[in-house]
Amino acid sequence: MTQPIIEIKDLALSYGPQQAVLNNIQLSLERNSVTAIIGASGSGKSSLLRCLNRLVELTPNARITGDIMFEGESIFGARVDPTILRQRIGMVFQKPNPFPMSIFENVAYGLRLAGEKSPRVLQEKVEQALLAAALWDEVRDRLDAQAAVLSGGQQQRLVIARAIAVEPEVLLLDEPASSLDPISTLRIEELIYRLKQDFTIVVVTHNMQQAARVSDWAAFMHDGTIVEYDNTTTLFTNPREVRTEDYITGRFG
Amino acid sequence: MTQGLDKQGGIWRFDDAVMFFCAGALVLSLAGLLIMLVILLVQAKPQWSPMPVYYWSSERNDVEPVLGQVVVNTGAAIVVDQGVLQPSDPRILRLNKQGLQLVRTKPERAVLVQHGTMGRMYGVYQGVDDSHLAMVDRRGLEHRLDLGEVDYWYLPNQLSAFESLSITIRNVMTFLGQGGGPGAGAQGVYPALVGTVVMVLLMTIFVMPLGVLAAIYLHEYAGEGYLTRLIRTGVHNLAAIPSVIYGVFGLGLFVYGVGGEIDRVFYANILPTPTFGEPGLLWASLTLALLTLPVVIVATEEGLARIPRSIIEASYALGATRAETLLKLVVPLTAPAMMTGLILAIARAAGEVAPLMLVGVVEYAPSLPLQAEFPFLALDQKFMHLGYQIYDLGFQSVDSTAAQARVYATALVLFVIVVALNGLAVALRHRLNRRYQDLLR
Ligand SMILES: Nc1ncnc2c1ncn2[C@@H]1O[C@H](COP(=O)(O)OP(=O)(O)OP(=O)(O)O)[C@@H](O)[C@H]1O
Ligand SMILES: [Mg+2]
Repeated sequence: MTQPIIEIKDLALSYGPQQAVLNNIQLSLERNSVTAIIGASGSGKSSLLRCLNRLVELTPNARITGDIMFEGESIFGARVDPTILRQRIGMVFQKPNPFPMSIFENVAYGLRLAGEKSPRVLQEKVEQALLAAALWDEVRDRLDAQAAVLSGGQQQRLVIARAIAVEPEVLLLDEPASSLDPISTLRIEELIYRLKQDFTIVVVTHNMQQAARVSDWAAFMHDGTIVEYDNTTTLFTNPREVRTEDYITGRFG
Repeated sequence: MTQGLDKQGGIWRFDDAVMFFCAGALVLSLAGLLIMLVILLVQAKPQWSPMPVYYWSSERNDVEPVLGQVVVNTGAAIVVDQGVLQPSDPRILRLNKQGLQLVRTKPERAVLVQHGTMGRMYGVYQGVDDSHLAMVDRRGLEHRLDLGEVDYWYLPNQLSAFESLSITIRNVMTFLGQGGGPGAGAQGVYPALVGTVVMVLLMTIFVMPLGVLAAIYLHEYAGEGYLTRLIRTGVHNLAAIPSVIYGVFGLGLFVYGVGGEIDRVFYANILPTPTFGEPGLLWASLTLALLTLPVVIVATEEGLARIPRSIIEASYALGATRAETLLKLVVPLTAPAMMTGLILAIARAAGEVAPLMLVGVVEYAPSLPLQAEFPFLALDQKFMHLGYQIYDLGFQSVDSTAAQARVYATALVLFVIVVALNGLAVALRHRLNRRYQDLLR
């Protein structure tokens, strides 16, 4: 294994004086791979993702200890600009959160932030992102319509398009297919598979089959710790821990 | 026996009762508004539409007859405006009905004359030649008026509906479009109208940027510390301070403090004559801006707080800085809330009189607060204001009964102005709402 693109060392997180939400997290993400994070609700999966792009810092009182290395450099370093970090580590949220703007402007938002002004390039990149997110055919005639008029599943694909439009190196997907039909889900999975060539992907999912299908590596989280981390085939067919086995076979608490 | 799906509890169910209470409250509020509007209109009517001219005579010899228009009829007495045709008589006459056996007639040929220099006159029409109008007064004496000096005249007791309407329209235009001289013979409210609008607009220019920026700082940057909470509570409570206190404050700070200092530095050559060191348009607008600042801050902050956390996070996750998120996402989405703040501010400012009396409004200003060169506003000038006109006419003028219709007419104009200014802001908010609010449901 070459140098991991992201390396999490002894990470712990708490949202205030209560008990820590994440504890003693160690994780190395391989370049151009898909890592699935599975685990029960409330086990800290979203929180872990929000540490990776430092979004967790927006929460008042959030306290982080430990370190995260991105391309060999600590993301918490004094000289690191979190906005640049977030341009390179994109994120799709658990709940679709499109901006109250037109479909086009939603996808173009990040591009405009990055300084893209040419209407032609914008148009091109927006179309590509929408195509990649399997939404283009449904919205090609109404790019100027408000994002709010889209259905829940369409909104979910829209926010994926929004995140990949800026071409981040790492893509954090928090349950990207939670409200999609099987066909759209399949498209998203194909998308993940395709993006893997260029990007590194972390995907949180409650769907075991999906995790098994799309990921190269899988981590099982429980109560803020990573119980088991292995390559996907091993974790699903031959888990070391009883808790992992119970969870993936559905016998969990 | 089974219950079935029938309605329970007869006709009057609790649900209906709640609905009726709410509807009742609404009807009551609307009725109040409507009654106010009707009273304003009815009371203001004599100011504009031609009223009949009456002739009162008594069987007693020691009582002189009276010719004129009714100002107020209180039952026991009639207050009559008998004009200025006989300069020795009082213009406003109080006729006590008690024991006089008054007989009222409505002379067909009664004439109303608006004289250019002297004012309103009533008489009985005798005839007109190319240069003079002849009429007799209540005692039968003939008067000849030079037509060149007469603004207009008509026979109020024999007007057709169309004539009556056109006179009304002309009176309204005069009322709105002409300035009044000092004193009760004043014609219109134009200077006061301009003064009110200019002052409110100038206040808007001051209060909006200040209030919006302050609210953004409070909400976005100040954090949630003890101090922030203290400041926020303070700001909310500022809205409850009586406005006259702001007036006193504005007088001390702006007029004497800032204005006095400006005079010492820039206008030292003409001291002790004050330029900015006395009440004026600028100080009045600033005082009102201060007065309405809390309203704008509170409304804007509430708007900021309504923006979902999730879309702000989405913006950050795409690599936006705090300022970019603010300018591209948060501020446009808060625009309707800012408009709400503006509406409330205008509503409050346009109706204020008490603080303005201290910092710039006068009963009579010889010129409008406008000028031809930049900045087009005579910032140091005193100005007239509809609200103050109402107060002044209604309570301060010597013959306040005669001015009653004028008071109501002025009030009606102020009412319309405030509604119009608000309507403008509401329309603006509506447009912004349509553009931005789709996802904020
Ligand atoms: N902003 C916050 N402030 C305080 N506690 C929080 C906050 N966000 C999350 N938590 C807590 O952290 C824990 C982990 O939450 P997290 O959202 O990471 O779980 P998750 O694994 O993503 O769950 P799910 O599968 O339901 O999305 C939960 O107990 C939650 O209550
Ligand atoms: Mg989650």
